[in-house]
Amino acid sequence: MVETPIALNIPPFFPNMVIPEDNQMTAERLSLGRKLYYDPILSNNGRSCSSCHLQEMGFTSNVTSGFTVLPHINLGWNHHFLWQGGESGHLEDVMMFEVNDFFATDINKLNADETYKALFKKAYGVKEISSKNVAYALAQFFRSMISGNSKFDKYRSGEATLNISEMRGMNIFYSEKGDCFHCHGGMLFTDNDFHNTGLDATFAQGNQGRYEVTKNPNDIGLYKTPTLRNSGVRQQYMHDGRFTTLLQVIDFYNDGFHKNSPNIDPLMILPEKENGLQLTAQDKADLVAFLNTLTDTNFLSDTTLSHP
Amino acid sequence: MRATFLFSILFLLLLGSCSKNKDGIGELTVQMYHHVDGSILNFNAMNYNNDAGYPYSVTRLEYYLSNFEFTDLSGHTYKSSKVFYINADKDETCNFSFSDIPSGHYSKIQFLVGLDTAHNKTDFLDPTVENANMAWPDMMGGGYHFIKFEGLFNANNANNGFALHLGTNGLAVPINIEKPFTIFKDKSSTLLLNMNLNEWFRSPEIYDFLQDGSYSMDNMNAMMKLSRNGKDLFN
Repeated sequence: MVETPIALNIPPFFPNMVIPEDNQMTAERLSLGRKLYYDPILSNNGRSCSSCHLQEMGFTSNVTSGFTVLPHINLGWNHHFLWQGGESGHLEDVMMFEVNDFFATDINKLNADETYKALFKKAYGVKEISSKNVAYALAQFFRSMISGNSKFDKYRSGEATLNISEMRGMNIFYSEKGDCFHCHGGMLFTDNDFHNTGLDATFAQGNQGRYEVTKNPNDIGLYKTPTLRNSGVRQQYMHDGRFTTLLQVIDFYNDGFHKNSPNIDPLMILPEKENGLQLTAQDKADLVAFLNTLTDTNFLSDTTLSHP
Repeated sequence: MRATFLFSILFLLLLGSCSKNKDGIGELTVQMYHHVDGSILNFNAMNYNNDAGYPYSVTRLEYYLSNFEFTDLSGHTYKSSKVFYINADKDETCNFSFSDIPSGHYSKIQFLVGLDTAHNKTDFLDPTVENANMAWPDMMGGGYHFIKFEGLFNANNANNGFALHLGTNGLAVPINIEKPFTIFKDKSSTLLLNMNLNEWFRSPEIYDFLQDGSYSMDNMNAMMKLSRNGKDLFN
């Protein structure tokens, strides 16, 4: 086994990332995880992670299978994964799900591949590759998929200025006027929690959000808060992709939600905001301008994250 | 019996004995409990009534405790600069420890619900995901939420949201409790602290969601009233 320890480049002001003791970052493991991410050997239908997670779209895509594709951005700080939080824990845990259940990876194919056998021996010191080894290597690459170099980040570090519209949008975002920050706050632009923002008045059996995982009636209609980083390059929004532009999303939060939706988040039905946020067309345009400052073009074209 | 249990701040000696106190240090674990006038807190249940007359439920309760001081019978004070994050819905955050309290007989507990000015600065606390989620936006003054207390209340036959968020320098809630307890050398003990959520709405002035505001974050009058009412949270 060859271990070349590496340190992740954590952007300024980001929280500490917790990395499990038994999967500390090494160059060999990270490189292996990157190769696996792009390799259809993981699946039995010719697909790889990268089939649905396109770098130029912030590692998401327009592929849908009931749910939109959540972006692979800053997941090293997450502890709930997928729209309903179907998997919780570390990246290693969700990667075990991906290998064993989502892809149903045929581990024999990897063990029959001399290149992979050599790479796993080098990275993890194993002669026989296990699904856990694959999951752990993938977790290494996911942990490196860090987006924190957007115009907003540069502004926060004093290296860039926002224009007037972006500044106005930021003021709306971080004030009670827009009240975006309570769920999409911090440098991750997600609270990694679940909320019902009133997308629907009712939720059909089998499609009731977090409830499908917990079976707690208080979780009916709750879905994970997605990060807003790189949201400007997405083409689908919400868990079911019902919106295709940021402006549509803002219109929904302005006055389009269902107030009587079960378990709606209290912040959505404050009496003083009974008539919605009352954002003007200019306010909405300013918010879109601010959200676009979260686009990290370096991340979208980072060659250390691209197909090896 | 449960009410008695909840209303009291109990000092439980877990591993200690009744042996004579000796010089040295002991450990104290503080365990937080949350209730509404004696009814244990259950999230998402419209089970509670406040003094303004509204039935209400609780969906979120997160806060900081800081600046702990324990004063013994001789007037000596043990002080801690630690800050503790509590999420009432996550048991693992509802207890914390002091490992180096001088043994002795104590009579008084003081602490803040929230942060003092020295700690309430943007990015000052450890960069954890929890602290990041408690951040108070710079353009609203920076620092952190001292408390997020959210839920639904029923008024005019409809459920409405409330979001009582307290932050801003000077509005942390000072708590003073007269309660005798003892720390034994090399022993571990547990102190139970019970927060009564209805005290946020009660005294010296009744807090009325429709009169005072269902959300408080950019409402200084509402935050000041909540801060004043907080003094009896642990009585």
